Amino acid sequence: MCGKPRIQEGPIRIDFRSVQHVVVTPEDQDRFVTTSREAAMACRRAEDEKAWDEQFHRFLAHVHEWSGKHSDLVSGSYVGVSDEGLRVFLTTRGDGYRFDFDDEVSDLDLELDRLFPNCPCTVMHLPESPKEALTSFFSLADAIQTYGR
Amino acid sequence: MAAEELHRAKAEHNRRFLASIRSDEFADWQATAAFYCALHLVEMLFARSDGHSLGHRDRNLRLKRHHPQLWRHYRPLYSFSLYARYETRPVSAAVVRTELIDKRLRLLEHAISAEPTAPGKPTRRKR
Repeated sequence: MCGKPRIQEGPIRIDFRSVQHVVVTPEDQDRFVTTSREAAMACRRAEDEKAWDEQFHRFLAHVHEWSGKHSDLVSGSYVGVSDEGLRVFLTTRGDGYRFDFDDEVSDLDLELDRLFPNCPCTVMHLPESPKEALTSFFSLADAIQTYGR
Repeated sequence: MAAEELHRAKAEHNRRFLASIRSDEFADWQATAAFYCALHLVEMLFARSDGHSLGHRDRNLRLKRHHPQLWRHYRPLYSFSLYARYETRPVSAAVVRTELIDKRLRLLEHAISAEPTAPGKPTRRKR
């Protein structure tokens, strides 16, 4: 009962001033640090915390940029922590599951592993849904939104 | 029975279960059975060299780092089975058949059967 109240239940929202520079709004800073720490633990390779942190920020920026380049199909992207490590969730435009997007998503998945080996993740895509429905797949309160509104 | 053979038998068992699901009502479970068939095929491959995976995370990493071409077929099966289990909207049986079972699972089966076996290990069961 004496826990710190959550500022908001939605995902952590961040701005990308440049590929290298991720900006976290002040009210989300605490949650972002907590989520980043969970992500580092999920990755279990964070021997050098500063180097991992720098790689994780570049990882987030890469997902943001990739999503923007695929904005014809991608309406949003989120990075969450699951029992199996990091998960990137891409929401796609329209109602149906985009099987025709699978190869490009696999390319992104392999690219992220090659570029950011200390941030192992699995990339998934889902049809866009109301945010409440996305909670079947990941906790919005603990996810970082890297693209979309 | 060696681990490789146990995983082959389990993959075949799951394949038979998949074939036994006649109703389009259970496309979500068809997708799940297809994924677990794929998982045991991958474990069968791993059993030839480094042995069991420690879980999904370990298996996924080993696949994408050592067998990226297999990962390209496995990831859609992994991802869609998770989607199908948690999504509340119905899943199309026709699309599961064409895109997952007839395409991804079949390609993965062919690709794994073409993978070289470890030296001194048999490629197929004894007849």
